[in-house]
Amino acid sequence: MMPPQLKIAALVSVGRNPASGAPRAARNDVLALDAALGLAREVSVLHAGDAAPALHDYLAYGAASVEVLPLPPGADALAPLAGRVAGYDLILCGQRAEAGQGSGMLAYRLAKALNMPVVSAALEISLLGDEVEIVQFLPKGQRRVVRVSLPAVIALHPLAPRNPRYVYASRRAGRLLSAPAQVGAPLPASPWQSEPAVKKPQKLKPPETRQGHARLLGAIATESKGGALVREGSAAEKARAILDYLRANRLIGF
Amino acid sequence: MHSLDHLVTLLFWLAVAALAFGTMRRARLWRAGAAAPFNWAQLLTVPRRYLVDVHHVVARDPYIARTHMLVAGGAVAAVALVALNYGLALYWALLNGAIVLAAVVMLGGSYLVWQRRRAPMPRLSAGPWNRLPYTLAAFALGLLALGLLPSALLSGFFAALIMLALLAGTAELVLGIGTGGPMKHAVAGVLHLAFHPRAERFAMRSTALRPLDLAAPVLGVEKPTDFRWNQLLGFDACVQCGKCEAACPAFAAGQPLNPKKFIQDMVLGLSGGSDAQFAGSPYPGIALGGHSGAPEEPILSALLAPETLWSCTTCRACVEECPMQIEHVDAIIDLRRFQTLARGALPGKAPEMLGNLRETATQGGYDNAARYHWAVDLNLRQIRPGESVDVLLLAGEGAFDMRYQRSLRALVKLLQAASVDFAILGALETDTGDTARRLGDEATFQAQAAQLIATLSAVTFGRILTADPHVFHSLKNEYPALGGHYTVLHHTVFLAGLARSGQLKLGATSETRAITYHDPCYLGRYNGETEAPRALLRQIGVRLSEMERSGLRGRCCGGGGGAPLTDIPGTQRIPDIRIADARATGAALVAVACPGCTAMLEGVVGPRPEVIDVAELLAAALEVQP
Ligand code: SF4
Ligand code: SF4
Repeated sequence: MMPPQLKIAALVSVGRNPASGAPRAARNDVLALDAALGLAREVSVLHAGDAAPALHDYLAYGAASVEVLPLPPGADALAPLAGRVAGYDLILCGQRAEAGQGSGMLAYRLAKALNMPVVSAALEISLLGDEVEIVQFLPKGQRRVVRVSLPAVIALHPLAPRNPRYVYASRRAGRLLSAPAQVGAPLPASPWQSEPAVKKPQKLKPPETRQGHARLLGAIATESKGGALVREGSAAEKARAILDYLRANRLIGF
Repeated sequence: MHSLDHLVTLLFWLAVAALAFGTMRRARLWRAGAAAPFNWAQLLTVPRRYLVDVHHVVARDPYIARTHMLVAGGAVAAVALVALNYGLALYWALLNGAIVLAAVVMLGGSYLVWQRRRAPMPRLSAGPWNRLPYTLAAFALGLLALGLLPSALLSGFFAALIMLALLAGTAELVLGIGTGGPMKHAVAGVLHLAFHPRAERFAMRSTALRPLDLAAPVLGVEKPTDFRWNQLLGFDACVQCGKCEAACPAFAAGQPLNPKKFIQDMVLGLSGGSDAQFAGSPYPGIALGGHSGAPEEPILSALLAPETLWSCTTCRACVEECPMQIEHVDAIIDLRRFQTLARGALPGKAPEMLGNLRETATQGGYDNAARYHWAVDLNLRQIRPGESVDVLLLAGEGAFDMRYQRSLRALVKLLQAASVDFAILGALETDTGDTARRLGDEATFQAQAAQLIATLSAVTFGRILTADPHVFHSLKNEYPALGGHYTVLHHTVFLAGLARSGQLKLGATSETRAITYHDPCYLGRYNGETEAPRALLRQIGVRLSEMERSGLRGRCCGGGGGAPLTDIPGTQRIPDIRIADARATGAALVAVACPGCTAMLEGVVGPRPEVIDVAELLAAALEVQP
């Protein structure tokens, strides 16, 4: 077991709701905060930027306080953050911000500046002595377990299976703390253009195997177009049936 | 003069002492609760509240109304006479005659109690309640013998027998309050009527939730002693008649909730103990004996499972049926407030919805600018800050539901046909926060309310019109406490007024199918409005086949209280039960008046009656189609 005085920091940013644009706690950073609180009772929750009202959301999600490292807009958060978290054992953050550049580079740049290992796409984190074991997200449902020695920077994947709770009472009890102003270097000018993201859902459709006449009949029939109704069995068996269907129709490649 | 008379006098005064002692003991438990205003003079309200309000509910079951009148009336009269004749040691033969009369009445009542308990309906509690006909009869028989037989003629054996009967009956009557027996209800019931936590209900239909002070040290109720003392007293008034249980849609659907058991669990909480002795129906799917409580212990989950708390649709059917005027929903919301505000422990999709409200002011997380997309071709006037209009239309969350948009379009068609001067808030409209409040999230509710009140105060309007009974209820009944005072009308009420004045010209419906009408809880039970939709349907020539549970006693569609979000599993779904109700009338069409009911009832799979909003039926029957 780790001694309880392990120093853990969670880095949080101000996100924005995709529908309304309202500022909020960034979902991915909430997961990082929640993971940090799962590892230690005391967590330094740090934000580089303005003392925005949306930061109170992190109080609701369990931060006893949020320490704000004031930073002029457009300035690079790296230097103040790196200065503040030097000496910490574990630094957690979301993988990518919801607002601003959202380049997903912070964890890497921070690790480089502090000369620490960095692990991205973390789903689960457990402490093992002076190491941490991390279950890492890989595409297509795959997972990988990696170990790093402390200190380390870990970026949480947005699908980390955590269930953070929004608690008004802890929002009411928590405080925003302001650190002395920092002079951050300006961010390198971005060559990017911004435009609204368009989400295009993809529908998985089994390839058509019927012949012409059957297809014509199918077009006017109201009954089921095939498939099976699975009512019985455990959740795992039902999931298995879905997986089998997807595989049988070559809708997934694993 | 005989020593038996003196014994009765002794027994009487002992009984008075036991009653007083027991009441004091019980009152100590109530007084552990939080503060609430108190005034002895409220005791004077009891006769009226009993004879009007309690009787109004009890009279729905004439058998038990008669029974209670005989037993309680006989007992009260007999005890008063005994107090006079024996308590004051008068021993007049004339008074003995009167005692005999009262005892006969009581005996008749006891017989009726016995009859009912021979084949009790499942909603009744057994256990100690089953001995009641015998102890009551013993008391009546004892008095009868005492009054009829000249005491000088009595043998020692007979005198002992009479004393034994009187002792048994008296013990039942006076020890109940101190020991938590069935007769506890007589004392607690009277005091509950006097010091009722929602006293407004005796003057008018009162259904609004109390605002919560968001700065209070404890947010809502965690332990039994966080309830206000008169709420605790109210729980003790329960007679375990199970009328609430029989009315509860969640119980019928096999969800783990039974309002009667819930109240008894709160009694366990205030007095301490386990639910193993509970003699009624358990929560479906939760065995008895696994839960226990104490006044200073958290109620969840030792005493109450979270699934029980989150199964309630806040339909108030239990409150409507309760002869003891107990406020189940207030207690449930108090508990939810703590779970939500202090623990963030909400099941299912509820947390997501609350996050959506905070971030987008819509429940579904929609872009608010899309709220009136369904009206893009209807040339609606959108009001801007500083402008004024007679009728302001609020669409509510239903505006994002493609099905309900049809109903809204029908409503607009009717308004335009009646040349109503109306406008919409358009993208300025935000959610009322009503669902957040039912889920116990008072903080989000008050924030949403403040936002909407600010928007509304920037424009001038005569009335607010809405097709959503939840918007209607919260604006009309709950916003005033937060500083928003408006004239609010549900579309059925407004349209009924237009039709009556002739401004809206309705022809006859071409609908030939049998039609029934489903009362939305938040329109009917919450606001007493059951007539307007029926009047409108009558006017277009619909002959309604009413469901058995309709009007103020209608059955919930399952959509209230955030229940579709918390989604606690049962053995069937509430809307399926409601559609079965409709089918039983032979109806092929269910008229509705709420986006929630529409969604819930339309969600029933398989062949079922069609679900159509009253506004749609009216729009199809407009005399001059625009
Ligand atoms: S709460 Fe009311 S309706 Fe329910 S059992 Fe008790 S007295 Fe009867
Ligand atoms: S309000 Fe409705 S669902 Fe809730 S306990 Fe009462 S009857 Fe049952």
